[in-house]
Amino acid sequence: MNFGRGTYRPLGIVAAIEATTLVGLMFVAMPAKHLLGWSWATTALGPIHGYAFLCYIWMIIRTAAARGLPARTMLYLAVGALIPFVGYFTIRWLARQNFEARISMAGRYG
Amino acid sequence: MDSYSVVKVLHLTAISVFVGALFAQVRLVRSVEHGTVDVRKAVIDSVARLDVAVTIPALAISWAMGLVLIVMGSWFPASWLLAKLAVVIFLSGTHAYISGILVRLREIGDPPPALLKLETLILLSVLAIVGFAIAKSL
Repeated sequence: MNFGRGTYRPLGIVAAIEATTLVGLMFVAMPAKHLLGWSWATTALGPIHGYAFLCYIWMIIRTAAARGLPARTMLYLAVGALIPFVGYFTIRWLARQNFEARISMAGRYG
Repeated sequence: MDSYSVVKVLHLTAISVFVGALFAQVRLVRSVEHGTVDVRKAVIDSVARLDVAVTIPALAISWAMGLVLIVMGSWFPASWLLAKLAVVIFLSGTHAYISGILVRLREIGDPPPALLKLETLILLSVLAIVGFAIAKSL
C-alpha cells in the first residue's frame, strides 16, 4: 500500500490504522459480542479504535497546519474516518496529494 | 503499588513532560519572532526536533494511559471525565496546530505567525484539566 511521502505519509499511515481498527470493531468485535457473547472483544477493541481515531484527528490538524489544507478537506478526512472502508480511499487520495506536492515544490525551487 | 496506580503514575508523568515541552516550544518560537533568519532557523529546527522526540511521544503516552485508566476504573461516562476530555481534546488539537506550524516554518523559514500567542490558553486548559480530575474525588 502506498502511503505517499513527506508530510502526508504519517497521515496516510494513521488513516490506514484507524480504518483497520474501525473495520475490526464493526465487522469482527461487534458480531463476536452479539453472536458469540464475547463482550471482551468490544471492550478491548473499542478503546484501541478510539485511540486510533484520536491520533488520526490529531494528524489531520497537524497536516492542515503544515500544508494549509482547506477546512472542507479536513472535514471530508474526518467524516471519512467514521465510515467503514472509506479510510482506505483516503489513503489513495493522500498518496496522490504527495505526488502533486512534490511537483509544486520542484516548480518553486527549480 | 497496584496496576491502576502504576498506570496513573505513567499518565501523570507523561502529562507533565508534555505540558512542560509544549510551553517551552511556544515560548522558544515566539522568542525568535523578530530575530535574524539564521537564528530563527536554528531555534525552529531545534524546537521541531523537540516536538518529534519529546512532546508528541509524551502526548501519545498520556492519551494511551488515560484510556487505560478509563477502562480500568470504569469511569465512563462520568460528568467530570466528559468535561475533562473536552478540554484535553482542545489542548491536543492546539498542540497539533503548533506541531504543524513548526513543520511549515522549518520548510519555508517565514517568521512565526502571531497566532502562536497561546501560553495563556494552554495554562487555562491545564488548570481546567487538573480541576476536573480533582473533582472526581469530591
